[in-house]
Order: sequence, then structure tokens, then C-alpha cells
Amino acid sequence: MKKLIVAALLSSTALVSVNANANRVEMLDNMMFTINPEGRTVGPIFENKDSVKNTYGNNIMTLLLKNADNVASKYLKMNDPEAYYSFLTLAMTVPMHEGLYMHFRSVENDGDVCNDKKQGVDVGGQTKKLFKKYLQPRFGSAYIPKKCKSVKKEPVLKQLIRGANGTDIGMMQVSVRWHYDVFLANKNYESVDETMKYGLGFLMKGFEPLYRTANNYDCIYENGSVNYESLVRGIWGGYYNGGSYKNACRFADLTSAYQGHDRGFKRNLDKVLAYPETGIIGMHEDLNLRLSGDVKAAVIEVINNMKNKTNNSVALKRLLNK
Amino acid sequence: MKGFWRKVLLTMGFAPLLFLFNEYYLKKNFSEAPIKKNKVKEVVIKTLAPGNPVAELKVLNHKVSRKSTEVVLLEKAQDFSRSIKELLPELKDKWQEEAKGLLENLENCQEKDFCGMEPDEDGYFDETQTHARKSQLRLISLLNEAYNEKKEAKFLLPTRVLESFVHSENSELAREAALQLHRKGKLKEVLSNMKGKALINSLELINKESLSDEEMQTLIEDSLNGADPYTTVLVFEKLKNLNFNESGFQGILKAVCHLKTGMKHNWKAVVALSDEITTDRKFNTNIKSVCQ
Repeated sequence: MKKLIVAALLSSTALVSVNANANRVEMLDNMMFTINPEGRTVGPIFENKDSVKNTYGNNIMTLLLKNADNVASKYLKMNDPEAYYSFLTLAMTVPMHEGLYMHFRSVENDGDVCNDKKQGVDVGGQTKKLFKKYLQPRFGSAYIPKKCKSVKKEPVLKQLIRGANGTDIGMMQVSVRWHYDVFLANKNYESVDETMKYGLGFLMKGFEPLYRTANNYDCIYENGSVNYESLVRGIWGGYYNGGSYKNACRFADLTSAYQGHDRGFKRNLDKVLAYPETGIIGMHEDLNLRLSGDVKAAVIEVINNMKNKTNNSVALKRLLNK
Repeated sequence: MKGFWRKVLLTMGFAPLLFLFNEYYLKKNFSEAPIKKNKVKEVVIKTLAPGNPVAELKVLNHKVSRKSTEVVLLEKAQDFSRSIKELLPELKDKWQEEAKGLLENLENCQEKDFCGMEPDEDGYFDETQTHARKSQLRLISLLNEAYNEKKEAKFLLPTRVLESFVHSENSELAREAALQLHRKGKLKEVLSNMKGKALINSLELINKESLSDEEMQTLIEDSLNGADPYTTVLVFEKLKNLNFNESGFQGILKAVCHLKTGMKHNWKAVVALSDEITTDRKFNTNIKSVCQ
């Protein structure tokens, strides 16, 4: 679960971001695998069209909040809303930072969207073998076509987001090297919901032990209480990006080789926390989630609860009960 | 003469085919001869190019195997797209002995240097989820499923090995090892040193035995003495599944009173979880009265 996707995004923002094909956000081209037309895709699919984006944001955020609630509602039973809203905030930040709130996209095929280099030739032979082994359904054709010529005549292509080097996939940027035994083997990547469940479940595996032993970490436990923003940063930096919650204070180590990663995450966490004031949530103008109605109200409620240590949940409950 | 030359020519014609058959089929699938270790030693995992577990697993398998049949067994176990139940009927006779040897070899090289596995280029490394640990989990799961079906002791690992696995930070490996110890009737003996999910899984396993309430509550109390707050809260989350009476509940609560002076959120958690038990079981005892 790494962040090379962010590097890819930054390097491509210098380019013209929207192609002559108005529905195609070109900067995403270098971070997408084209899926075979028969490949299974479950859940919201991003398209750069107003008609789609008006519902895409609400659908993604609803799924995220429902899945995060499933994982973290135990904290409410323990009279601990601070932990609950911290986890929900973490759940809203990680998929933005990791996968730009994107899992699948649909794009008109102008002949250049899929090219063999982007399909994995440039990500190394072993990665290709791995994809062949794990992304190849036992029956039927491959999920990721070996050659783009096989999809050349398709008018519209479906794509799956990947890290710049091709080894992290999906909205939660799950590493193929570390998660082949469950995530790949069970084909969780075919579903936005399953991908979220896997990623958020993985986050909780680090969150709970770190939270319970927070007083062992000076960067998180300050003046006799937990700093929940630091807890969120520690979980992402130490555990999700580093591999062990015991590295949670990585973000506070100014000599760390991963300061850039941790600063990037902090910027995105700040964007999420500022949503009630800015009304903007996302990493790029074309990719910001458009939230409205109950979803927007629930997100604002969660963030305000996180910031103000309150427990107002009218809008959130309304959304979760839908 | 004609017949003689025809035989010679036929034999010569088949010779390359027989050679290839021997080299690429018979040796690969049936040889019991040791694998040429010198070849393996030459392979150094230098490349940190992310996402190459296929090559890494190949190196690992040769590193920990003594026989080609062990490599075959490992490769089968590492086919994660298939369930343990699907794989089991395909394993050859006496595979369990090879699996036991492999589990120990994997443990040794994991302890030594994670069997050569290196961090990703961006520094990511989870020592609890290395290829060795994932392979161990599959092998021990195969043994446990085989025991489940046949109830034969040959599928159980030696106690000394299990005692090491049960303390693994890979909670799934620890859980499977605990199941083996439970089947050998040895789980209670190692309980006091266990922590985290492995401990609560073990308590739930032991709870199924026909122990008296008193025996069970003593085990819970002993487990909680000196436990870290993470383990304590985990145990309290599952306490409702365990057998104990009201006097036992008092003892269990006394074992966690020290959390009252620790971090507030841990104390809040055990208060809420224990209050649930007080209510559900209609006890008069509650944590606030016990930990005054």
C-alpha cells in the first residue's frame, strides 16, 4: 500500500489534464490498467461527465462511511466516539490519498487510452507474471488483457486504478507483493465495496493495537491524552505505508526518509478536515467528489465531531440506515 | 542386418526423447534426490522491484526445501486461489511429514533474516506477513484441516514447535498453532504467555472443553494478569462467550482494576464491556464497585 500514485499524479499535472476527448482526464492514463470488456466490475465507475459525477461522489462516500462504520462501530459501544470519528476520518482520507477516490473509470476509446506500455510492459516481467497468475480468472479471458489490440475496437473501455509502478491496485492501493494471498486470490479488486472492506479492515488491524498502547508513543499521546489527528497520521505513516504500527511516530521524525510521504498525507488529511469550510474534497479539480444532501451533511457531521470531540450523529445515522 | 540397423536407428531416435522425458518430467516430479543447493545459493534477492512475489516465492521454496517433492508441496500450498479443502485431496502420501519439516525450516529462516525478503523500495516491510509466514499459515492450515477430517495424530506438529508458533505476531499462524495444541491437550500450559488475538482465540477454544466455571475463570484471570491494554480489551470484547460465575467475574474484574489509572479510553472500554455482562447475566457485581 504505497504512494507512488501520488508521484504519478504530480508528474502528470504538468500535462494538459483533459484530452481532446472531454470525458477523459488524461493525467489518469498513466495510472490505469484497462480491463477486458468481460471483466467483472462491481460498484461505482468514474466518468468525467457531470451526469455521472453528480452521483459518483455520493455513492463512493456512502460506501466508505458504511464500511468504516461496520469496522469501527464497536467504539460507540465502548462510549468512545472520539475513536469512532477518528477512524471514519481516516477512512475518508486514505482512499483519497491512495487512489484519488477512484477505483474504476469508464472512458471513450480514442485508440490511445490503452497502450501496451501502460498495461504493464513497463512494470517489470515478474509483475506481469503475477498478474497473469492472480488476475487471470480460471475460466474465460484475462482480467487485464495482455495486448491492447484485443480491445482496440471497443468504443468504451473500463479501467482499474494502479500505482505508478503497477504493483498497488485499486482505491486503497493494495500491494500485490503483500496481499496476494487474500485480496488478489479472492479477486476483491473486482468490487469497489470489497476493496474498501479489505483496506479498512487492514487499517483497523493497526489502529486498535496502536490506540490501546498510545501512551508508548510520544507523538500521539501528549499531555495525558491522545491526539487523534496524530493517531490518524501515525496509522497511515507507520502501519499502512510503513508496515508496522510500531513505526507510528515516523511522521514526527524530521530526519525520516519518508517525510515527503507523511507530509503528503497530512496535506490530504487537512483537506478532508477543511471540507466543512471549503466544500472541496478530493485531490484534483476533475476528481473532487461532489457531495450533496444527506451524504454531505453526514461528512460534515463526522469531521466536526472529529475536530470538536462531539457526538452529533443525526445525519450520519440517516445515511447509515438508508 | 536390415533389422539390426532399424533397431539401432529407432533406439537413437528415441534417445533424445527419453532424455528430455527424464530431465523435465521424471526428475521434476518424482526425484527424491536433494536439490542442488549450489544453484539456489547463487540467487540473491537483490532486486527490490515491487510486486515480484512469483520470483521471490520460487527462491524461498528452494531455500527451505530439501527435496523436489517439498517444492511441489509448497507451490501447491501457495496457490491461494484455491481453498485448503480443495487442495487436500491432491496431496501425495506422507505429505504431512514434509509439511512439518518445511514449517520448521521456514521458521528458522524467518527468524534468521525473513528468508531473505527485503523491504519494498519505499521502505514498506511487514515482518508478520512475509512470504515465509504466509506459506507457514497455509501449511499448518492444511495439517489442521487434514486432522479435522481424519482425526489422526500424524497431522499434529511437535509441541516444542507449536509453542514457538503460538507466540508469533502473525495472529493467524498463532491461532492455527493454538488449535494444534488444543488438540494435543497442551494449550492451557502455554496460555499465560500468550497475548492479543491468539490469547482470546485460545480462551474460546478451551472454553469448549468440559472445564468447571472455576477452572475457566482462573485461566481468564491468569491471562489478564500482566496483559497489555490491547489484549485486555480484546479479552473483554469476547468475555460474553466465556464461562464464569459471579464470583469468578469479580476476580476477572480485579485483574483489570489497574487500567483505571491508565489511559481514559481503555478504562472506558472495559467499563462499557463489563457493564454489558453485568446486565446480560443479571449479576450484581459491576466494575465500579470492584475497582473502587
